[in-house]
Amino acid sequence: MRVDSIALKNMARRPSKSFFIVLGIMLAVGAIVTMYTAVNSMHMEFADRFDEIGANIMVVPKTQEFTLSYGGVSIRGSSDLTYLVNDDVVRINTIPNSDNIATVAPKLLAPLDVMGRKLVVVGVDFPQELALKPWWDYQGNTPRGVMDVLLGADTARILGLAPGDPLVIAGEEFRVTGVLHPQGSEEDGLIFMQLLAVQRLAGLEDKLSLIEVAAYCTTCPIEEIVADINDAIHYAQATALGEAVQARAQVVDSFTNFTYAVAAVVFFIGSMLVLVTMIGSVKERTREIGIFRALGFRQSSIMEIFLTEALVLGVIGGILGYGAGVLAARILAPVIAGIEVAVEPNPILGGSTIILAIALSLLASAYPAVKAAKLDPVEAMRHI
Amino acid sequence: MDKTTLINAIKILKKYQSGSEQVTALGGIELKVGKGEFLALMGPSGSGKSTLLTILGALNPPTSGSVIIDDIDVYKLSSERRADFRSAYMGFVFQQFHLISYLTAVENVMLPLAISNKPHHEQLNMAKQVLDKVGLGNKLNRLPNQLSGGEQERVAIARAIVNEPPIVFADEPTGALDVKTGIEIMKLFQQLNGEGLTIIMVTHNPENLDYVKRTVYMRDGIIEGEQQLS
Repeated sequence: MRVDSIALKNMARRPSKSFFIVLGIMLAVGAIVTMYTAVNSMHMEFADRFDEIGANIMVVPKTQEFTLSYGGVSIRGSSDLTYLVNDDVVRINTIPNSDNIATVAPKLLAPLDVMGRKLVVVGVDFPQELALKPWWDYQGNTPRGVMDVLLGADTARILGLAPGDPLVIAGEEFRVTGVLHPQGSEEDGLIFMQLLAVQRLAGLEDKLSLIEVAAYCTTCPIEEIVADINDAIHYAQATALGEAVQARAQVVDSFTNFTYAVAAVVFFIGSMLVLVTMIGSVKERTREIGIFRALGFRQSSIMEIFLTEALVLGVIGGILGYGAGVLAARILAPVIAGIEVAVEPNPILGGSTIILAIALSLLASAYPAVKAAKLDPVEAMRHI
Repeated sequence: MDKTTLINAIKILKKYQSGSEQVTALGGIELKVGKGEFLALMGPSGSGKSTLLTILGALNPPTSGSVIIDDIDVYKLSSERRADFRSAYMGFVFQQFHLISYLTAVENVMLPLAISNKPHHEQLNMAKQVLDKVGLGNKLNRLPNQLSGGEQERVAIARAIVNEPPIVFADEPTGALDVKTGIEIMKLFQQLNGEGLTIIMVTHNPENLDYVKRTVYMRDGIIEGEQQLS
């Protein structure tokens, strides 16, 4: 028999005592893991899903005057209309901060003759547009090709059109692929078509009215991306919008502060639980320590018994605490963030958690163990 | 010092604080114990016999005075060295047995060997041998709560002698046992003493004196008298 096997036998044969210490460690480190993982995953998720949240940069030509509006940007009314060009999309995609750009959605707004009426037709790149506006839901099929038309809810109602119906625009026949559900915005009164088709019908080949950009930068301010775009296209005016994202990011930020506070409190409670249980366990075993001392065990051997226990319980508590923390984060993060959040296990966090648990367990048992080992054997044995 | 003297207690004074009062537990004890003796410390409760036992057993530093065992002044040793000294020289049998509840009989007996460098199988053999000797060879793997009082006492004795120390200290070894079992235990001690073990035993049971070689009578922290029985 070795000294450390005494510790192992105690844990194996009195599992209920060990259970409470493991529980305390689990609680302490689990709280940290939960909060850290949840917050981290939410930040990542916001970055990954920026294109689903909407544009936060609007790029327009500098000298444009506005009367017809789309998304706060208007067309018509100026005799010397200026435009962006198709290549500007490439320019935006190659700015120094291009890694942080999720979606670039070019648009051409043109008043065209639609079944005898002058209506605003928006030429868009459908895949980019749909990526930018994941909240769009529509009746019918997903528009893809140059023959496809997506109608705003009001437009469809006024024109009396439904998905599948033919539609004549500027003398050419197209097909209504889908009808947007009411959005409560000017989109309800618009007609969306492939960019190339609108450029041709309006006689504005290669021209763009505006470019919407969805960017997310966790490490740099959005202003940097805006400045990059302004540098890249000297005749364009890029403006940061993105209140939606900033609002959500603010929610995450305030949640972050809140969770850190909660994590600190839970960690403190868990540590106290470990400390109190350890002190209790050592006190209860003071007589036992006296017996060991009487039998000739050195103080260092007594310490070895208690610290072996603390080490084993720390490892178990750390592993369980990490697992429980990740699980809790999986449940908590989507509820708080309001979006699906993928919580992936993180080996570095896992490793640090186990080290933290061991440190906590060793620290909590060191004090009572040193105190007990220093007791006079006779004093210790008298203890009940 | 006499060649056969194993333990020499010189002017042992022990005072302790009880509330605001200072109590003298031992008032200058002089005692020599020879090799191979079976000595009983007799006396009423509070006479200081258990305190003397723990002081002789290197467990409890006296307020003044010294204990010389085998020419070593034990209280001049550091606390850790004294632990080593106990491990090498002494075994203890306590009234409440003081077995470790989560260790089996054989593991309890192996405890003093756990701090030695002996390999596991050697420790196990030694523990089995002494458990056989005290008549518990068939209950090696029982936990203390699965053993009777007499059996627990035997485990405690086995634990005290497994390391083959020259001295065993026993504090009221029959105090928690019925008369018949008490007699069996005393016979066991007598047998061990016959094999050369020096035994110092605290008791207040006069019947136990039939088995010892010398009795020292104590009262109020001093030695009142002594009797050589064999």
